[in-house]
Amino acid sequence: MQSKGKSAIGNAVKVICVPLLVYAFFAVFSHGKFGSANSMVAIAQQTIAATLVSLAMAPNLLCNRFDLSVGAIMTMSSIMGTYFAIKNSIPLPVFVILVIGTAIVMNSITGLAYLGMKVPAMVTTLGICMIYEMLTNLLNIGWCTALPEQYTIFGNIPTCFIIFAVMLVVFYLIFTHTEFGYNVRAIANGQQIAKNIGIKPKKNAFLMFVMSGVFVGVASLINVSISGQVASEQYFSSANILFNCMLGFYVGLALLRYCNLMVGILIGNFIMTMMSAGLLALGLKSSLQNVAAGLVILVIMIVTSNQGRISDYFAMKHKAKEIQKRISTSNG
Amino acid sequence: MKEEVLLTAQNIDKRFGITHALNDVTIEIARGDVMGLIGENGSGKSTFSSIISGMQRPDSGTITWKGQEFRPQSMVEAQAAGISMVVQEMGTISGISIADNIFLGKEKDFRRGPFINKKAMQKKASELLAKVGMKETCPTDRIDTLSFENRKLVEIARALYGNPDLFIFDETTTALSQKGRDVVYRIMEEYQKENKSVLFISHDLEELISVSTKVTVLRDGAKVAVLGKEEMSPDRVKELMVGRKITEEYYRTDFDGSYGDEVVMKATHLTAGTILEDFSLELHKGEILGIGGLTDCGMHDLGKALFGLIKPLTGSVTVYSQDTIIKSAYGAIRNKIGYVSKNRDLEALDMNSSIKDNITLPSLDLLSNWFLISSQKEKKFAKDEIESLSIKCSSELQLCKSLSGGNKQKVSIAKWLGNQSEIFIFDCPTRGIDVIVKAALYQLMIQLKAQGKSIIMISEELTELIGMCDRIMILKDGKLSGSFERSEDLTDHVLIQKMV
Repeated sequence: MQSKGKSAIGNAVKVICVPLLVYAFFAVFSHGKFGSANSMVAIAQQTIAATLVSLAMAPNLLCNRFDLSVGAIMTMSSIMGTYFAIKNSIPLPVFVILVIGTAIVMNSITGLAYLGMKVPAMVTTLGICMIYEMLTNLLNIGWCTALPEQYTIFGNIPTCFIIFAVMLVVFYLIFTHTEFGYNVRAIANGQQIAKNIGIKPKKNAFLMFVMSGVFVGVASLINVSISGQVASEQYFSSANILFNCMLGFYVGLALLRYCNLMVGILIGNFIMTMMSAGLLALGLKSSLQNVAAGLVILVIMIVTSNQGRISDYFAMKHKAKEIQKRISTSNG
Repeated sequence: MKEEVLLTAQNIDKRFGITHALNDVTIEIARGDVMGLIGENGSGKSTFSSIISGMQRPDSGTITWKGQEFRPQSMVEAQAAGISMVVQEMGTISGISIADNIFLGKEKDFRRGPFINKKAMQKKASELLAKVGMKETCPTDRIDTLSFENRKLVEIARALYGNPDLFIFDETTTALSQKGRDVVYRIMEEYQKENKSVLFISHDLEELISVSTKVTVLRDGAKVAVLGKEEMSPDRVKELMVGRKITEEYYRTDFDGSYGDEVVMKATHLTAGTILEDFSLELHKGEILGIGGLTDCGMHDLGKALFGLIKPLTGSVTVYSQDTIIKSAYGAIRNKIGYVSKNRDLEALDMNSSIKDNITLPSLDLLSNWFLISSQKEKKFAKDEIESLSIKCSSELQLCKSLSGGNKQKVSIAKWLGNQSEIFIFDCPTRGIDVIVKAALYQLMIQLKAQGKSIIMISEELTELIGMCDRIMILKDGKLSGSFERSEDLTDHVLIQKMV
């Protein structure tokens, strides 16, 4: 029991070390332009929407389904809310319902299309993404529209953090304490066995899209509240949103042996946001920022994924030495 | 006293394309029965058990369960009605906990409001694990931390949940060592005492006869006989399985144990895997060298290390002139070594590929001409091997996953025969295959020996080691504990002394 406690502490330290190292790197090399308390709060604030999108995508990604329509749905749901906020001055609760409701409905449509068409999720959602992006252009008032100030309260501190905390608890409960969560994990790790045992993969796939809609909706609400504006998407530009969030998810997956998936995803997205800010502070051009971010993520993934192997290698070397010694002794 | 019938499967018929898997089969299982079900690979045993356990639906026929018509649509439905099954293949899901695996699909039994009561679930899991002799196992641990055998025991624990009236063991004991088998036998005894029933499928004739109260024999999808306890004998059952008297010899009849002087493979001070330490061997031309021991003694790691699949910590494996060191599986294949893994479905074959693709894969060098592989040559190559080993299949394009266990094993051996291997490493080659295919494999090994090929036969079955090998090396806790020459006086009792 004691060793289990010790290893839990050890794992927690390892998990915390990764963002701390990223922070230390940028704080040292940016000569004070990165790492102030205010900037870290802003980074934490920007992490919220990205983490929620990663969480929205997580169940589908675990089941090897790439939902490429998430970015377009996020844009579409913010535009829907903003459109009616400007045109009809709708009350705040209606605005909330509209943003989140749109995301749920659109994600459910994506889910139904995926189940109905029986083609790979990546193909279905790519087609759907194009359609949704076109809808954002049809509905948007201008290319970039500002959201009236009274609707932006969800981006304020501490409101955004409270909402975020609630959503994290909801995800944790759904993923680890409900029958649906158990089914998702079973399907993700062994779909055929799960099917044989009576779990319904199709029903669960649809529920995953619906749940994804809830998280995308809240992400959209917070994102539009923080930025205070919405912009249309086209030519698959909405993919920018989801690719960063996917990276956050994969960092979370690499950290899975040290912490639970949700914490891993949170840390992954925090690192991603920190890196964007850090690279900006280093004065890198935006094109080079992407290259640098990609390289740093690769390094993190390589180190976290191979940490066990490195220690195993040295343990094996040591064992081999000892056995060799015994063999030499017994051979005289 | 009239028996109370628990399950009647009446005129069950099932086809898979052109294959008539079950042909009008009627089987009755009474309360207190341990009904043995036997037949050659592909005779329809697993199809029958999968139908009554809800995994598949029959094309026609009826099932009556406790006097009521019964049409299970899933395993969960059958289990809710009181029928549980443990299959031969891996039935647990990696990446989730032991408790999660035990209660797969039944999480709602632990629901408290919208949430699952994890503590109650873990408590129940501990109780079930204790029933299968895994009292010390923590149910929250990931299932990946367990060995294949213990994962099988977890499946038995899962099947025990809900206290079924009919327990189906579909070749479950194949994956188990004696300790695990004892758990299964104990459960069967308890079931009999509680007036419940067991359907027991096994290729181990002696085991089947010793534990069953009745035996149903299937042949080519049809029921050929039901034998009572007093009518069962290995010869009678074999005869019914194949429809003729089995006259050919099972094992080798010679006891000279001779082989060539040339050493074709040498392992020196080999340490590899989790337990194998400082092990040396010499394999000679035309020799069948047996490696035996308990399942965790390191013999399976030895097979992998000899084939270059595991990098040795100390020592080396050399072949022929002793200056060729085996460092990888690629190197082993280039040096005409073939390896058949114990874990056939995961390590020996690509189940989603055709028989042809599996057989030709190690021999593409032989088939290619200026970097191009002729599909005609490939087809002929596969067909020749299918013919020479009498692999039962619709064509060379049939997917391996749809073959019976014995035929899968034949494919995994055929690919090394086609490759013209000189050294064969067989790890549990007769695991989970029927007596007829077993006999065919033994005959093949005798032929290979006569052709001057060398074989390392790793096995947990001592009788086959004694029956087939020129020399036997016994491993205990990763080290050599005894070495025996072929002899008429050698008994499994002598070997067991060195194993435990």
